[in-house]
Amino acid sequence: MTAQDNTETVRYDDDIVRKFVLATVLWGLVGMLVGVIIALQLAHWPLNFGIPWLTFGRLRPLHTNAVIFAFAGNTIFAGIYYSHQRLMKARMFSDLLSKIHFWGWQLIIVSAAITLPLGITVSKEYAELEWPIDIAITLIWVVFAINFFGTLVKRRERHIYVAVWFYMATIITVAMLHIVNSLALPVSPWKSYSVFAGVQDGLVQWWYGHNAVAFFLTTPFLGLMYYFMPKAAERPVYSYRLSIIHFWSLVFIYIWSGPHHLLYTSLPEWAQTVGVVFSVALIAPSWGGMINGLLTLRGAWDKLRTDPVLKFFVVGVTFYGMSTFEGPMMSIKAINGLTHFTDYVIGHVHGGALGWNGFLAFGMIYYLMPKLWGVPVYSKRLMMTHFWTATIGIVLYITSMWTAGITQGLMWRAFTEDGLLKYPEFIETVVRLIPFYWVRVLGGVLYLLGMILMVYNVVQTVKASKAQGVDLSDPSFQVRPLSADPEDYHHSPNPWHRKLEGRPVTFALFVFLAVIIGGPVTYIPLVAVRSNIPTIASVKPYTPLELEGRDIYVREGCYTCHSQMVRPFRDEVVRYGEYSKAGEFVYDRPFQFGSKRTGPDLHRVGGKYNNFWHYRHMLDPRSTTPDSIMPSYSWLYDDDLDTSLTKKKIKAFKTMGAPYSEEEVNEANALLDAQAKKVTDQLVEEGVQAPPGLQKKEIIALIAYLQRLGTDIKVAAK
Amino acid sequence: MSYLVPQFESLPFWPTVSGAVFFALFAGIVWWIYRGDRKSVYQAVEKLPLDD
Repeated sequence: MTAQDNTETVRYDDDIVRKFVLATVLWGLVGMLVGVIIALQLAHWPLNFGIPWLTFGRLRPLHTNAVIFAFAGNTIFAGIYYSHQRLMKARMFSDLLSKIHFWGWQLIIVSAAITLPLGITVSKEYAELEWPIDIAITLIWVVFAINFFGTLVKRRERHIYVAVWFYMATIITVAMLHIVNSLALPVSPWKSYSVFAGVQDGLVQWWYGHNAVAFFLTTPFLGLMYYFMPKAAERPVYSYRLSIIHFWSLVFIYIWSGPHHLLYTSLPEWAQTVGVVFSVALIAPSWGGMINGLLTLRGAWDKLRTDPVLKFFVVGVTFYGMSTFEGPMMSIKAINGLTHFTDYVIGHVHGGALGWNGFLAFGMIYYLMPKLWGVPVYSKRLMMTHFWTATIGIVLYITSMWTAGITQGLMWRAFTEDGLLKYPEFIETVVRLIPFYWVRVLGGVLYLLGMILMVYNVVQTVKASKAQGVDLSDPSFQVRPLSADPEDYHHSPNPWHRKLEGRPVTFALFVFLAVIIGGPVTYIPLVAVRSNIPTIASVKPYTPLELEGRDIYVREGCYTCHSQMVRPFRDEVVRYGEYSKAGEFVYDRPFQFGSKRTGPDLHRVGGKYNNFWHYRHMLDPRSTTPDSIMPSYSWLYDDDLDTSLTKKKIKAFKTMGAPYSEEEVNEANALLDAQAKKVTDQLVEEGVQAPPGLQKKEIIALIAYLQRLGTDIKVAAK
Repeated sequence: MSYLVPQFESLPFWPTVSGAVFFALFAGIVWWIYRGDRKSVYQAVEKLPLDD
């Protein structure tokens, strides 16, 4: 039988790739535009416009979701659908599943774009969406997984190339992370509470959050790197052996590193140490991957001068190396103590997001455009301009945030010779950062400008393709069937790993084993060993009014600017009060530790000011704190508190272990009214000219919540 | 100088054992993958992205 006789025709589905590419460009533009808007709001607070759905606290989650799941997500899918078919020499398993995946994912993005500005959120970072959307994500992810693994089953290439391993790790691990972190008890179609509480919730969230970075923003992009860099450089990857070590060590180590987001918090010391050790170790596989990517260009560096695609790839991989050096360094406790809660972290994540994810996406799209639309990219000059504009934008962005972060961290901890805080008013540190915030805006605008250039280039390329009547029907290739490629792995030299690569189910099982260990090893002892979270007898569940106030705190995204975690540092104890204890958070669903302090920590704010102060502050922050950059929350004074779910909420907490009595559940609304009256009466006593119906307004609940924060432990002290 | 060296008894048992096991596993994988007779196999495989 000749080779000619022994071939099959395969037609790749490139239409689905085109759809994902266009969605990437569209959502990238939206996500980056929202990013510039919120950067402007931090530099100039009036740009919050006093409109609820335009405030920073609600738009910030929209920005992160848009760039991670819409921009990066569509990038991943575009790249996977293109490369997976070609590496497997097979069309995707099902065109219908491909379409359901595409349209389902876009629907999820639209749902996020509607619900997050409305304040419908669970407040877990990068997992803010409420439970019906979480279920939709699960279903669409399953559709993607069936389509992906189905293609593996019908493949015509026995060997599974390294890029596909990274895709497999992504699909398996994201499913695991998403399902566990989204476990919640719903009380209505748009409100639910995490099944985890306090420190446990924090650990699960950052196991998820850190590994969302790992398995949504790193492993799939590494897969794309291993496919598209050799394509663009027209030479194979530098070292296939290194890629094997890179893959297994990366997926195994990454999953343990989540606790480094909780250093110096109430998380037990041993769990923090696990996070530190694995985070520092992570530098080795990360740099192994970076070196493998960069050295793929060996002998082809001259192409960098003229090829914008390679420029994007090389700079993207370089940013990957930089971010993965910076991350482990920031996980060292002494450094983390300075950088955590500051803008340094914002600089770090944007080095990765704008540099690594953004540039790899741009390079891939520019590479794919001629392949998918059958015409050259409209303007190479615009591609070059995009590259330089975006590069300068990133440099301005991250250097301003690094400087702001170190400035902020040093000012927080500065003492005078007399042993007093040198900057006792938090606002002093905020004002100092405003110039850096403007530089960040400039950097963001430049990056957005580059994106606009790309949109123009893409639109013109598509137009040119249409004008020239390019045939966009699915390309066909002659390939050998799998049966024509007899299993030779059992013969010499018989490498075991190559055998493994020929067995996708076994391979997937090994991947699952590698990623499943890290989470339970830290979580199970945290739950099972009572001494990890010592109980405090005086800590009680929130009253119905406080719980409603807490929900408003979550809805408005207060956690995006305020932490609730006083670390055991001298400066923090002097500034805020007693450091936070794990036992204080046992009824916090979800936890509200936060990850950034644009404003001060609030865990000990209860009783620090009177109700009148809070009443004035929320209406006009500058009336109590001149130079404050916090927006006004005037609608809290107009809108009545929705108490239709109060009883259900209390009941849900009781179901999950909060010690409410039956009477407290049944009388929840009456208890709420009584406390609201008390708060209102205090406000009137303190001088507030109460407008009609003040007792029913949302601000009363929020004040009740804020006044409760961190006070239970003071009861114990008395 | 001896005061700079941690005493054996003070080393925590499980972290030490698990650290040694992880390192041995890693070193074993590296040794296996980089054995001299594997080169030709990987040379064929690494060209897959260029073959479509």
